[in-house]
Amino acid sequence: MAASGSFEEFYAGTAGRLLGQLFLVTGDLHAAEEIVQEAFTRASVRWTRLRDYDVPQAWVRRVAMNLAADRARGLRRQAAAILRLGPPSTVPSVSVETLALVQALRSLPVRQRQAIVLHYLVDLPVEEVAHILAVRGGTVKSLLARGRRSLAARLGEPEEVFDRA
Amino acid sequence: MSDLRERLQEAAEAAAREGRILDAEAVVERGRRRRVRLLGSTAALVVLAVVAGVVGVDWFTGRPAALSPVPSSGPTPTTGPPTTSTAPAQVWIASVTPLQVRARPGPYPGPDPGRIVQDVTSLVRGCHGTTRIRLWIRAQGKVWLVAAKPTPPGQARLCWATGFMNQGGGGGLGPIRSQLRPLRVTFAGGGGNGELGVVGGAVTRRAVRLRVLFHKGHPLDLVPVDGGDGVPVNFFAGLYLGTGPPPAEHQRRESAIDRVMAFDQAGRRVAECRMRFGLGNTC
Repeated sequence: MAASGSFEEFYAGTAGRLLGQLFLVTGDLHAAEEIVQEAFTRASVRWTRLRDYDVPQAWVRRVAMNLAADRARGLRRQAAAILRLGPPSTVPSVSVETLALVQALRSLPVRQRQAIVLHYLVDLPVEEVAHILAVRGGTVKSLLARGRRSLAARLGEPEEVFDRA
Repeated sequence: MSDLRERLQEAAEAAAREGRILDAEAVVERGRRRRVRLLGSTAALVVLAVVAGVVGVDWFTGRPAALSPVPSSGPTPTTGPPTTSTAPAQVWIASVTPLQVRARPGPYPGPDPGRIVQDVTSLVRGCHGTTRIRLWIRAQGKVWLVAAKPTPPGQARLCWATGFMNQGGGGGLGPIRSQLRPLRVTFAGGGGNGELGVVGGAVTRRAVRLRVLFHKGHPLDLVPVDGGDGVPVNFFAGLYLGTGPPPAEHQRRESAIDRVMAFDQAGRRVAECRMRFGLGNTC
């Protein structure tokens, strides 16, 4: 669906949802806020073109996912320093079960997190997730399977629980 | 116990509820400031390029040897009156040497250090359908390619994008979503001083041959590449070297390309357009 309205309407209608998705990918609310703002800033610069897209939020989501992956790569490089000095990640108030899931998600490689969020939360088909992550469909299926297995192991739950998703 | 999807949903909703993001106005303002900065940087680069041209700096390393011109019966080259430092602004046109390279259909085999394939395909991601690289050319250490998606039945639009990659990865992208026309032409570079130029575009499937006419130099003949299933046009691309001197400061910049014509199997002209900067451009 093309966003024929103003950027402000588009932003108001999509920013919050994207923030929730990015929180699950980054595991840190402040990081997610920064990434979402950066993605929408880039969108605002190109809005005259983006507004004619069938699904402009797909462009913003993709930019945000790339930024999250870049951030994860940067963090990996500085992992030791962050482990020693970094502040605790900011998370919103959620149930104990969900908090455990967020922490378990944070331990997964960023590609697995992205695949899980895009497929299970955003409800995108495997092919679309593959498109966004620039990988093959088979790779996405593998990322999802490994992600589910890791989550189940970390949460001490049988994998079948997540297979229902 | 709730399943994965429900717990993800709960966490995402909580983050959306408790997270703080800027007002839309603040985001727009941030974007505006960034645009101004970008324009400033671009202007500075243009000034730098002009200065470099004036003092005769050769920005291209490993420039190819002189190429033999393509024999043809092209138009008579047009030459403007001599320019002097006191003359009013004159149109400056580079002399052109067409390059004999073949546009290739299908997936680009790489290498792709600048991730141009990813960038170009992402530009048409908003349209429905599968993005495919339709044609590519690699020459002089540079790559140009076209990506497109099938046009849904009953629609008269074309969802496509072009990308031009310099050696080392930098380059330009031309996101294009356009109404279907018998002939649509884009170009990049080719300003002279040994600069590689690309002319390409989309043409009606009736066309089997195209001729690019330059203001100076021999014409370039091109054969369209099949657009593929669901794409109602064919694509074409060609390369040339602008080998003239750089324009003087008082000379107006102009495309080296004058016209592009498309011919059908019987040799009839089925489309034609004129390449101009600003008003008068029909390409």
